[in-house]
Amino acid sequence: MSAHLAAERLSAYLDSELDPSELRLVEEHVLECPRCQHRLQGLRRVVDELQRMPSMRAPAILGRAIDRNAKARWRAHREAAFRGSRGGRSGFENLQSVVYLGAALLVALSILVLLALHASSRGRPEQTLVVPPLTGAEPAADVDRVVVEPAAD
Amino acid sequence: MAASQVLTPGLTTAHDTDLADRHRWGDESAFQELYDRFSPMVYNLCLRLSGDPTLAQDLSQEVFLRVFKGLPRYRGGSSLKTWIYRIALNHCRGRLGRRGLQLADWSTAQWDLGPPDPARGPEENLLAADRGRRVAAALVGLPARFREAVVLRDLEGLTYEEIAAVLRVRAGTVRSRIARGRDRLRVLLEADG
Repeated sequence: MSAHLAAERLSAYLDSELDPSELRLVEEHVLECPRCQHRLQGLRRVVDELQRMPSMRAPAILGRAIDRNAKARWRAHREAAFRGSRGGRSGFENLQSVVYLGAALLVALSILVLLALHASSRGRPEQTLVVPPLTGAEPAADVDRVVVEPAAD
Repeated sequence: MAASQVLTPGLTTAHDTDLADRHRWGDESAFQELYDRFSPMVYNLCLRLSGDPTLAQDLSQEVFLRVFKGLPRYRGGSSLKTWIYRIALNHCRGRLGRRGLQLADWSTAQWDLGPPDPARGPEENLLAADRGRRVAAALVGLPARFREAVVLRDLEGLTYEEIAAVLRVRAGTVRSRIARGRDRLRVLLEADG
């Protein structure tokens, strides 16, 4: 005879939670093994005793307490909703919201402008200032003239 | 009739979400309906996990207030029954974990075992009541993880899959916990005579 069956298998057998091969194994084993048979009977008695325990009705006082509590919560919820629909927020709170929103928009706009400027400056080719040497023969009007030539590369 | 048949009304998920929607839209009768349907289940679970009718009453009330608060967020991912069991179980774990189980006074009328069976004689009823008390006491004496699995299976009649969903463990773990819980009860009750 094989080793004794684990309580897990016997318990699952009582709940019809075994697959067909396991089920056959348990049934065959229990027929031959008095110890497992005794254990199975004991487990069955436990299940019977537990299932025989009466289901209790919740005391009426519990229902009343919960009802009172639930109604109070609903009232609070409705009052809050009512205040909201009647413009329960004060003028100061509304003004505060507008100021915060405006400030946020201003910051976002500034960031966008900065990003745009940065992107445009990176796209332009680099330039070099070339200043021709001054000679005494040249007219004074040309001294301040600056010629800008693009860089070689 | 098994207790489970009384305590676990068949509910479709569509009905569950409808109930939650009605509650969200302000229909007061929705919560009343939910309470009528699930209060025996919640009270019994609290009673069997705590072993104390007065404490079970407090626990049930707190569970329903949590349900009331959380119901607008219920989206029907699991059945309402599983969802409420999970809330109840987590709440009991929190409260009983802090306070410990009320293990005193097994022999008194704390254990309401229901009306006597008219088919039995008075002596038989006394013996049955005594046996019931000892089973209830042994149940509360189990480690919490085994007690939860056994209560959900044998008293509340949940399937292994439902228990796995409530406890958030694998079905194999459920099978093992139920078996170990039952086997400990068997040993305790056999030793008790």
